[in-house]
Amino acid sequence: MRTTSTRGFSRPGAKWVLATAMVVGLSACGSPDSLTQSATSAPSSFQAVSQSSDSPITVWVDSTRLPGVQAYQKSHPNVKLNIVTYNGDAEGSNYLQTKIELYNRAGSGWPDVVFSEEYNDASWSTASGTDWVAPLNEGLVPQSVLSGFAPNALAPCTVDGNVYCLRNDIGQNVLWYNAALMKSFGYQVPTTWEQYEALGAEVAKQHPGYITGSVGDAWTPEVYFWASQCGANQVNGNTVTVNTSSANCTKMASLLDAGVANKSLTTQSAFADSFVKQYASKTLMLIGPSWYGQYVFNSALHVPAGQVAAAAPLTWAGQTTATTGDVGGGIWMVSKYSKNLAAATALAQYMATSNAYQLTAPTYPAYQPAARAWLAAQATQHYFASDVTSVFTQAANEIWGGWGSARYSQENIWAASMVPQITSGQTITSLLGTWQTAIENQARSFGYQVN
Amino acid sequence: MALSQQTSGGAPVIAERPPAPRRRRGRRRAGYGFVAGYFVLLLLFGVVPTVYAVWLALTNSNGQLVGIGNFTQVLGDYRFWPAFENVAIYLVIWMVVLVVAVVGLALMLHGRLRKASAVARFVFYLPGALAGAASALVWMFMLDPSVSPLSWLLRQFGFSTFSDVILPQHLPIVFAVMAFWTGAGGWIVVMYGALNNIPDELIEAARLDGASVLKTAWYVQIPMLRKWIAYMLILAFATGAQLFVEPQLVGEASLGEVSDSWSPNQLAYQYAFHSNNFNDASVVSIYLLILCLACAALVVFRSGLFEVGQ
Amino acid sequence: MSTPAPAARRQLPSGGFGRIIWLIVIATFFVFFALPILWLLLAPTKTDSQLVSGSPLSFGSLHDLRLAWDHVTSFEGGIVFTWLRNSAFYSFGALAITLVTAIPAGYGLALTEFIGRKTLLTITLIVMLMPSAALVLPLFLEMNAVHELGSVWSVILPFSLFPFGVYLVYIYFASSVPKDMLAAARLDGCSEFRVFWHIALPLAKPVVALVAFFSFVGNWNNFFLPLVMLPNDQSAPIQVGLNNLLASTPAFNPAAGGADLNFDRPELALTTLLAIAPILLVFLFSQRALVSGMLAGATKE
Repeated sequence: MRTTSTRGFSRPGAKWVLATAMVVGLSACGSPDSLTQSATSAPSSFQAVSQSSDSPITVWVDSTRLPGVQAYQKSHPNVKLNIVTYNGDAEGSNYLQTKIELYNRAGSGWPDVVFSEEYNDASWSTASGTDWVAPLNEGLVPQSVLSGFAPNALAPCTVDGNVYCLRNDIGQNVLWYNAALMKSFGYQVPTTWEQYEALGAEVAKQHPGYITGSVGDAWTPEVYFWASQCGANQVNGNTVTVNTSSANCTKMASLLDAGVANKSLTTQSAFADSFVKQYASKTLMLIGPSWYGQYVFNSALHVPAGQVAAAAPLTWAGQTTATTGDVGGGIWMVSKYSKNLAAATALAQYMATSNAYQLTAPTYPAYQPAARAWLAAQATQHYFASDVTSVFTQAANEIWGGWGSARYSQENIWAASMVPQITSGQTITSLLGTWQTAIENQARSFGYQVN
Repeated sequence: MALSQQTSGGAPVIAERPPAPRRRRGRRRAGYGFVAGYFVLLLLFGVVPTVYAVWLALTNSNGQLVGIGNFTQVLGDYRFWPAFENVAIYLVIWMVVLVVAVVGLALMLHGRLRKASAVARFVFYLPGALAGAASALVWMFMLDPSVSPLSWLLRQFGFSTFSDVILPQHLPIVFAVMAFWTGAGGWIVVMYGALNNIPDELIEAARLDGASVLKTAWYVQIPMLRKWIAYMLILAFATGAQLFVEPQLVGEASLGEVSDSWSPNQLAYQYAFHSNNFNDASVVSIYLLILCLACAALVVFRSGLFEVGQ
Repeated sequence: MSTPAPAARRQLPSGGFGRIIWLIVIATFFVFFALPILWLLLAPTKTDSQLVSGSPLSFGSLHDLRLAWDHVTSFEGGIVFTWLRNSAFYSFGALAITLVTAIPAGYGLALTEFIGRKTLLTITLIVMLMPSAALVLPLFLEMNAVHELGSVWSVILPFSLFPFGVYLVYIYFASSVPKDMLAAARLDGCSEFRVFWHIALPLAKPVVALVAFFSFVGNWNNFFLPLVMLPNDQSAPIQVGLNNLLASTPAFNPAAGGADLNFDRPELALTTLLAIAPILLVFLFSQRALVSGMLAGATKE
């Protein structure tokens, strides 16, 4: 019995040897793809396909934006919309890139308008070789509209001066605090980072168990290191520069380490169930995006109305204007293969900039006129202890423009490389080198040139 | 014509007259007929894509042949070796636990209380119905000491938060537990069915000879399960080496605290759908395939899986 | 000559100690497998806050269960039921083709002789072990080439290829059906097909049930192939739909928190239960066929 089976296997043996030899020998024909893409990552010049003004358009949205698009269909019955709901390319799903790259290979099938929750999607959507989006500044969207967006809101969409997507909303970071608790403890709301650090130390001494922030979220870099202008994410075309050991990075790292050491900063993510159980009534402050007010304090932590307020982003002592970071924000993209660019752009522009839709949106609009209307409507909701309008507007104007947007995700890197180590007790300062290496490795594997 | 008694591995007592040549040809043609439908499906959806994948592995994105260039380049990716190390540790835990527990549980369920064992088999299988996204929710809770029904157990290990449980050094065990939870039930069903095919006379004969339960299991039942265990070994190794769902799920449930290229299969997906590099994705897949085929060849040789009539 | 063996001897291992060990082991595994399912069953009866703050295995209230049900059925206009219907269609459709192709193939590989038998077995093994990441693109391009992308065939046909099932049938026939029985039939003048249909197939009920079950479950749970082939969520099966739902659940996707989608983890748990119910039903039905498997009777005179 054994011999039959051995014979069965060894007969093709010689063939395998021959095949391998051929394969090895043929390696002279070409070389593997260079890991770095071409020096410029700009997309090819745009040539519209033949247009037809009553061609139906396919629009992909997530369930949050679905009602808005359905309302658009109702108010514009002459436009033929094919509405498809998908997961919005949410955190880590990569659905959009999967499908678009398959369509690229097949040469057909792209949707006309896409909403994505990840503004990073604009990076690969505009990368040479895989680009599929149309530039909107060459006549599709008026310049007056494009300049109406908050400063740097369109930065992720902009390549070589061309704008390839419209920003739906921004998450400018502010200092959230529980006004009622602060008052009962007799604390002043900090205006500088130094005061913030000192307050953390006081809270640790006088009211242990209360927290002033979190370093366990995946977007901790966008909250703290973007605000301190740390050079961890400088992207210039196809070149990436990472420097996590500059003064801007180290001073923020030691601030965070001090807070973790005295336990005024928690290493748990604000969205973890354990955070909710432990800190629902003990969150004194959180630095986070404008959407934290409703999403975290109201929906997750169930802090009663009238307690939570927002303060302007912190400055370093001696700084006149603060810089702050930006967490999240969706984008609207229009396919360059669309047969009805006019209708597609009209829909994208309506959703991103019209008061009619953005007033119903749950997050702060990136388009400033819509943002003003949105803030006025929010003021009637009476959840916050004081009006957030001036704080949000100020923070929206203070988003630092030196934090880039690449094909890889800074959030993934922090969550996978840093959070486990921080949870195990290591200091952020000691991990800055690890962070730098992790970012550089990711950048290289995505074809960037790393300086 | 009296039929001979089937004994394990023995030839029939009565010699068969070799069939006439026409019969043999007819039987051969019939053989082709039986496999024809499957063969078409295999060709279209198995062989052609596999050959295409091999082609992709040997070429670059311009379609030029690069021989083993891609294979050597991928070895230098900083994610490649950690992924294979992770899966190697995982495989050891997974294979041992699965084979021992599945065979043991099947034997135990088969040995007594048949009616109750039907309930037990159903319950053991239940988790197998939860695939992918369906189980993400369950694990988000099971592994979090603050909300889990097993929190007392997790705290015994010193874990106080979800992040503690999914620290990198714990992941192989966590994934093995998850994979076992979903995968064991199906294999227990298969083994149980296989045990049903062992004639009762053999068991009775062994008992008459004074064999204990354990000896009966070891010397009578398990050898008769040889082909099934071999099959399970091959597939357990393959599903283990191609681990994807568990790290992906825990990554989703933890908002990214598990690397998205923890396992080689995840790395292949990253290449394909994040870096638009289907060539290197095929390379990693072929490395995995070679590993799985090596294990399969070993098992096939040792167990005679391809032989009929043993 | 054999003395009749008492049935009791086959069932009970010797001694109460063995029985206690048996009980402890089975009970431990029982808890291991069942506890998370119990949690899942209780989850829709609670609100999301209760899931976090309450006791994990507590029963919530029927009112909350009713609420969760309403939320699930009204999500995007009842699309959950569309997904379930699609899953049933794809799974049963592919199952039919699988049974028609895989059972005869396993039989042919085990009990007939033809040139290339071992090669076919080897190719089947290779295809079965090939990681799917590499096969997605070729399958996609194949379907695109015949313009079937997005149609039901782009899902059903690849699903119908079930080498795992072919191997199950092969092993079953190779180890459980005595060749002499078939030889006798052939000597009696039966054609090969009649041997298969009248003799082998009736003996193969358990493995047919096994293959049908695993094929159905595999198709039902397959996520990535339909994701790649299908263009929208109207044609999506329940697994793809569940994945979309994760993105609408604030706990998994913080960005979904603010919009009043009325969809949180209790609703997700309820949808999960809906998604696995058909599998469990099919399991219960096939259990009876799965455990019959008594071949011994066939060889006795």
